[in-house]
Amino acid sequence: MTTRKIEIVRVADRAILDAELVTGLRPDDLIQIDREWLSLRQRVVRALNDAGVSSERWPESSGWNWVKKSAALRLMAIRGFGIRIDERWIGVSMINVAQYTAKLAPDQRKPLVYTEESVSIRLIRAAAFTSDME
Amino acid sequence: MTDAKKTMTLNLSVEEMAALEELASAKELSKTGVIRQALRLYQLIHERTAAGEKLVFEDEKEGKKAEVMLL
Repeated sequence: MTTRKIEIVRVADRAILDAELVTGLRPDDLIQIDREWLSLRQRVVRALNDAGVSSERWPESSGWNWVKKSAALRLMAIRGFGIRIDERWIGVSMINVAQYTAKLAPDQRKPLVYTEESVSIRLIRAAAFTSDME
Repeated sequence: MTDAKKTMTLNLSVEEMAALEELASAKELSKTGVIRQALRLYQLIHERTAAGEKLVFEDEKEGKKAEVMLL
């Protein structure tokens, strides 16, 4: 796991925040992140349920089994990375660097980096307050 | 995954080297990049077939499907 300093822009007020980009996440890291986010995810699901939002419109990530997904990080084809601010994980993503190729010209059949799973705290928080979600 | 690298010498036949160069050109990768991609893919396929999944080639036009067996 390697960490480097980055700056990210907070969309709400365009403020520039100091953050860390963490690459090479391991299965245990993903399980730990899932534990950190569990109570928030449960609150979001409750809020959506209470608001009568159809489960088809809940964020896809609300039902993901990260413990099961974490095993894929043992493979070289799958990479995990995340962003932290003040030791708190605010986003995490898994990408596949071996399995997919481009379908369209001019890059047809060339390797693609494919985002397998990606979620951020901002996304699941936002889901609690809007029913107009992707 | 660590960024540290190790070096090895790879002995290939003329045909194998030609195939490697052809793939590198087609994929716009270095020869090392092709070997890396092949290893990642081989590991992925090994793990998934070991877990009971099948690797299949399918020709939708011809309606053909064949399972790929790995050594």
